[in-house]
Amino acid sequence: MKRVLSLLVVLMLMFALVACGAPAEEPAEPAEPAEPAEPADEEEEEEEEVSEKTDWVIALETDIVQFDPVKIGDATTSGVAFQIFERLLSRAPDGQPIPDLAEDWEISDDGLSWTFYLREGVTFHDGSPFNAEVVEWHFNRGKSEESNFRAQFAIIENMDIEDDYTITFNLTEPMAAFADNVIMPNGGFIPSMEAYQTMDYDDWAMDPIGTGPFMYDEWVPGQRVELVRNPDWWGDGPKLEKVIYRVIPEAGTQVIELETGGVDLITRATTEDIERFEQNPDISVIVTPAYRSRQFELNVEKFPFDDIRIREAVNWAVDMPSIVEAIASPITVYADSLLPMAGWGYPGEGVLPSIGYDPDRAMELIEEAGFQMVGDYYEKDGQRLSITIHSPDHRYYMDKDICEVTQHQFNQVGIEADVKVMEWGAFLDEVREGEFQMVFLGWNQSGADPSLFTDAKVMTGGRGNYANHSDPELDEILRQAQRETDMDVRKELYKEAQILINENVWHIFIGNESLQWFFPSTVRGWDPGPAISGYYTQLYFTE
Amino acid sequence: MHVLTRLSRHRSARIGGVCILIIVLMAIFAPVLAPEGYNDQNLIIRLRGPSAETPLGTDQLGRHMTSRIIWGARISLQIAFMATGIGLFVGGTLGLVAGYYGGGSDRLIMALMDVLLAFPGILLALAVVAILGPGLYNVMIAVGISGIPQFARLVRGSTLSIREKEFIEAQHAAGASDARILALHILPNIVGPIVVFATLRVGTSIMQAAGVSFLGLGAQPPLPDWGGMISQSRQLLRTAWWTGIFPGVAILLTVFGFNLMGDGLRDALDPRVRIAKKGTEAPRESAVTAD
Repeated sequence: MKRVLSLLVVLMLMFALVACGAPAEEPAEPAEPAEPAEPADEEEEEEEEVSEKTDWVIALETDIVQFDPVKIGDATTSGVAFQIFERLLSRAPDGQPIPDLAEDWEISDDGLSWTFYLREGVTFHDGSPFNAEVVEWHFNRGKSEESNFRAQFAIIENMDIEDDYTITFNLTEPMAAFADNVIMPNGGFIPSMEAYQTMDYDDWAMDPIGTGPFMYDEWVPGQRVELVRNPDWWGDGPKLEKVIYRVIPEAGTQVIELETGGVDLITRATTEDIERFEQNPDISVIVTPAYRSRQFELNVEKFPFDDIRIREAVNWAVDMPSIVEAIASPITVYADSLLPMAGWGYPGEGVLPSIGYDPDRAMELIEEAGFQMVGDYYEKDGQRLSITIHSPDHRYYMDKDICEVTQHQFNQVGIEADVKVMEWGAFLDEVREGEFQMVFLGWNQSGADPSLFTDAKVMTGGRGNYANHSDPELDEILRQAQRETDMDVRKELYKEAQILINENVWHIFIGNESLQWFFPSTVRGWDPGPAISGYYTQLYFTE
Repeated sequence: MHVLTRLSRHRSARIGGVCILIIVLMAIFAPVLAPEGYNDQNLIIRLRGPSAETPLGTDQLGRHMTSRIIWGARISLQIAFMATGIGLFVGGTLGLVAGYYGGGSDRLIMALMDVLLAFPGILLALAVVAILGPGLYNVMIAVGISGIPQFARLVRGSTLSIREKEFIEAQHAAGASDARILALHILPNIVGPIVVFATLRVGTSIMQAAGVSFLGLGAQPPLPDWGGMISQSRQLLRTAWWTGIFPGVAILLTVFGFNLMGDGLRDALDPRVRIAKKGTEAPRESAVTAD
């Protein structure tokens, strides 16, 4: 097994070298991140001189919050924690589970027990050992009341420690995608148990101690977070000495910082900036499809979306494919489903029932629902057909602009609409309380399993189901799909689910936002993809 | 008539007057002047540079900048006049009361004003918006509140200097009520500095409102607020400079206009200037300045 992997690594490295000469739009196949690389790579790299630069500076939009893995709820902290902590399993470039802290795993025939064989000799940054006891402790915390991931871990009935490095998870029911639950950042990150037991909780939550390739070093609130190389890491690398995160909220400033060498990696830029970057030989641009869906969610418990005819009407009223094409492409691409098109759960274009653009049809439906045009807008029993669109401010690509165009197109069919742009924290507060009619929301996952989207967003009581969507028939299909292990059957079930979701017209679909990376073209050993962007262990700079 | 004549001879007041006139006309006749509505979107022509068809270019939603800037004059003037009005009315009343009655009410009001003055104007406005939430009207209130202490201080000072004058004492002796004295005898005598300050304050209000809008807390889209337009253009400034520059120029012109007009008014109303005019040069120092 090891030999095959090593061979694979060498092949990939060779391919990567060839690809280095190719234009940046064609990224090389990502190298295997976790396995030790062969010493052979040194002689292969003789053409390029390794730079003395060993710090990798990443721009962050927002500051970190706290590092208790089972409570991390924001992408920023998650990205930093990814360097410090590790999980039982990790993802290959194609999103499939691969070994990480567990070297191997087995699933019982009934699908109820998952046995993980842990990597031996791994220690935490504080010197304490990693073993089955730590794993059991961590997942017990993960399913406890204090955890934000208790829904994902509730399926774990209990765990049996077979020996120091073997642990079996017994599930309450078979679950085909259980590996995804273990892999999920942030609940899957395993912290030091000894530190938890000896430290004050608040100190522990701000001083992350994991087993990962980088160790937490310094945090200057509002400015930067610094991580240093873990010399005792079990894997190969890291080649970097430091990973530094700088808090730069403004996208425009990030772009300037990248161009002037202040940071090495930014993950968002405008379409216009991307065009400029592509002309710049010093900057590599990678834009790849990702498991990130964007949609307007219609709150079915609020006027006027309690009426399916109005939900349909607003869909007819908006020409979303053209809007996305005009102002958000190529970063966001229109999609007609809640599930990302890049994942295996999406049945292909034209399969799902979808609503086109026809303002006249929209007005017919509104009239069918009992509204009459009074002046410029529709009214029913003296109540104006008015909709407030909640928009975050630059959280998702072109969010505010898409909301504004949508509002404009609503107005044109006689729906009085306005946009309420809110700061992210305040926005989430209102949205989570269900205090909205219609909201621009996104859902990002590093894995493609459809359950990561459906179970959170449209299952009754799902953790991201803020718009109160509920359909017993759909719930039943989703639960069935969770238990099913045959991939073809699952695929068919999720197709059925998507048809039901679209028939309920709970959304106005916007599209899938790609992932983007902009970094100096001197960077080697790193090939970001939707599932593996955070692996910096082989990264280095050339002159 | 004296004042208006002097004002019309004052060079900077003339320039300021022209600027204000342009902006006010834009605001009043926006529906006639603007070729398009402020939210007429046409995604096909998004981010076009200035040209014959799109004189000031188009923004990221294909809306004509020309039309948006013209409509924006309405929003800006609305905010500025309302905010100045709030500051003038509330601050002026407090200042009159404090200055006229003195004693405990004076100490209480002025202590309160000192607390407010301790915060920079924009910070105070931001704090108020943070409490009230973003929106056009809340910005008016916020900027208005941040102007209250300045008005109060100015009016109190002027009132104090008039209060002890003989003609006021004569009114007291004649049995006039406090309200009558305040309205008919004190107010007309201190209206000069108030007018000057209010004019300058209009400019400041526009700046502050633009600042608040720039931070995303002002008028909500798609209202064509100048500050908000600049804010939206931040992302585009390197590729579509016209989306930020022209609203900036509009703010500049307006504020410049009101400041010049304020200067002119001050010179025209200040009795010391009248005397100095006979000499060689007008003294430029004055108690009235807006921050």
